[in-house]
Amino acid sequence: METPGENFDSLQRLLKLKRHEVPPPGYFDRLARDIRARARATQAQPGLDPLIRLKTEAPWLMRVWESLAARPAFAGFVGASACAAVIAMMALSEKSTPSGSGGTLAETLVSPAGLIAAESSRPLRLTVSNEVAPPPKNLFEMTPSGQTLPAGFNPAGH
Amino acid sequence: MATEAQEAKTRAPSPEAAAERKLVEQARRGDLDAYDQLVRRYQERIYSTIYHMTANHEDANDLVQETFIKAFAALKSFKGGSSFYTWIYRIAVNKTINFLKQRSHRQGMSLNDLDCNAENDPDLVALISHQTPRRDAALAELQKKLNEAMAKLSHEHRMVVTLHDIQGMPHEEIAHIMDCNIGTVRSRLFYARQQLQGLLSDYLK
Repeated sequence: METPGENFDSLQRLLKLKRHEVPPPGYFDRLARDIRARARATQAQPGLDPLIRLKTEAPWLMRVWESLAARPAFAGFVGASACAAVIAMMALSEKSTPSGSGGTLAETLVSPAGLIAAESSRPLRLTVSNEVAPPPKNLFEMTPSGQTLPAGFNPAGH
Repeated sequence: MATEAQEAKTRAPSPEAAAERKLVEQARRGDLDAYDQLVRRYQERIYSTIYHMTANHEDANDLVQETFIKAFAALKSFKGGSSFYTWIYRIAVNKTINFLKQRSHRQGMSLNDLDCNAENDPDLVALISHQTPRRDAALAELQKKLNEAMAKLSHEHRMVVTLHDIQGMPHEEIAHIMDCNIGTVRSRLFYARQQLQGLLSDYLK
């Protein structure tokens, strides 16, 4: 790769200077001790460090996380895209529902005024029954009140 | 016959590799003494790589610890496809590059002192007393300028210079560690040197 015009000998000699940069005396002994202590703590309490467990069990997830953490702008873009996708899916699912069932979520919610308007267009007939539901023997044998109606409207007029 | 013997020799792991594999197996079973031996075997090289990349002792200290703790926690996932040395180097390199991407706004240097041998290194003495126009430039100043120039390289270019020109690692090994092909390593090395040469031209004449 080195072209005839390029001579990096001087640079390589200068770079040798970096080999002489050394940490304080005794540093590597302390480092090994610190690592051992942290490794022992990890080993003794594996349940207390879920991050390390996650790194072991799902390294791909950590790689994704680290790559997102390294690029905050990209992470924001991914987050915004995910939100947009969820909103788009919601809108699509609402569109795909039959038009008679109401259309949007707000429309499907039954308003009292809407109910009155719908029901008022039909002829109403009040039917009264004299049958009385027997009293429940105890609280747990009570049936829902909607099942036995002593009186009710018959919209069809029969 | 000779070929078979040669093949058998290449297939058979060296005693060092076999010893390392044994230590890895023991460490995987939770033997802290075995892991301590692995740490002591590689900590200086891993530290140096991270230090030359960050030019900051405190950051290097944190990252080297995190590297070894992450490796310890992930030993179960180490399949043995590469050597432990290459594997842990990969962890260190990825961790360092991610760290540098995150701290791109901060460029604080915390340089280690030069050892006493630097003043007696004939190459360095020659650079100061003969080739540098500013003969009074002390080694410490040269060290600072060199680190500033290194900091201007991209992370990948700096990593290749660190591994090859400072630590003396062969291209093939760097390619394994950085997960790229040898051509990419060579080309990165060439452009990094070219850039450094331009940045340090006052000290290289």
